[in-house]
Amino acid sequence: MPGAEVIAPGDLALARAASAGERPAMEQILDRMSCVPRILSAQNEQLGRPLGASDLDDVGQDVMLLVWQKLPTFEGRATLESWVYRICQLEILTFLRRQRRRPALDPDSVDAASADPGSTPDVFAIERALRLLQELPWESERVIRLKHFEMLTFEEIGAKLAISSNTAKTTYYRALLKLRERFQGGELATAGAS
Amino acid sequence: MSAHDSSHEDWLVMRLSGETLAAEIEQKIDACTECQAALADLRRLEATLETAGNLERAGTRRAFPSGESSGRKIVPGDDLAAGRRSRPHPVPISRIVRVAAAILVLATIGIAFRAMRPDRPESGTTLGGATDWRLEPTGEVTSVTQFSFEAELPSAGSFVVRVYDELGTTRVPILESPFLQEPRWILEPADIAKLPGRFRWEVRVLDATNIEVAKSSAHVVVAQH
Repeated sequence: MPGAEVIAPGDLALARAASAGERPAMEQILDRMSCVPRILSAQNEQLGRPLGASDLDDVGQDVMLLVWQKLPTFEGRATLESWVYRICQLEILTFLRRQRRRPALDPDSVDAASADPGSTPDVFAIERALRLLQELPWESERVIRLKHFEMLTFEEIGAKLAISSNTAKTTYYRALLKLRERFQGGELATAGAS
Repeated sequence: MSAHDSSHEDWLVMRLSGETLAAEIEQKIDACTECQAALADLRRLEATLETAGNLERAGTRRAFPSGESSGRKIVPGDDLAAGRRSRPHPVPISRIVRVAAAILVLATIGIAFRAMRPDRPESGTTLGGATDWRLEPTGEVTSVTQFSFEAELPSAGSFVVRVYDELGTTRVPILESPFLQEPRWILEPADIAKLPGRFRWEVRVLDATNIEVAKSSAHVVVAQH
């Protein structure tokens, strides 16, 4: 399994140029980041609009600062928009946690087909899982993302990573165990669907 | 009962992966409280990740309804691309900014800052939907000599304008107005000289006790001619 597969080489080159201080590249990045308000707005909708326009503006500013700070670490494993989508997601949840606001997820925002109708997902458990997921080795993070974020079967994951479906399964469960290790004691007791 | 160790985790992975284990090993797993706790945790973790995945797909569809973002096609293989399906989006913000910015060629920034009222149709560069305030760029900016906006001044309140370098990495404004009683800030030459080619300007509306009651911001690109 490749250690650092580059999915968006053009974006990686752009990020490197911008990180090196090349102004045209920085301006291109800024243009691309015009999606940030849209992403935040969409995510706010999913959470039942807990944030007002002013809050979203603040989160948007935080996101842009993080974009510039994290740009040197961008590895081209997703497009810049996908990368910033996740920054937005974590920042909006962090903002809510700091404000001690616990929103209820908009049921329409979660695919009914795969969601447990009786469940009440904890958004802060999701935030924690997403944050810890990013800390896993890339191979582990990737297999989890393929399974839960791209909804691939183990057969499809195996095909994508050029491994057998059995190896895909064991890689996935080992990755889950690694993720579990990173949760503090008791954190998982309230996580996920109850 | 043997102590829980790495071999138990190997067995757990094998069981979860659907491999057939010897009856003796199955019994060990069933009798191990650590293994049972791990299995329960993994189920919760999978449910959490499932919800996170659902959220990301649904959010991506809302944010990138046409499968594009900022005019760029999603790169094949991008792990967010799978969640993007066609759906109309009411306010393509980046387009509005660009279109609006192409209308007016003036030596002064022409940006309207209005109080949003319930009877106003929803449009413009609002962050967060139909709530309180927004800034609307109304023309191409070739140079900047003042910031003007439309907003209601609270009784005994004031406005403050702040300007941030969009390529900067701090939240420190590069310019800040004094307390304004009029919805405009005429810049001094020294201030004008500090303005970068791209910046974000923000209007804060303060009440009589200097508490912020509203805020909005807009991005400006100073056209090069």
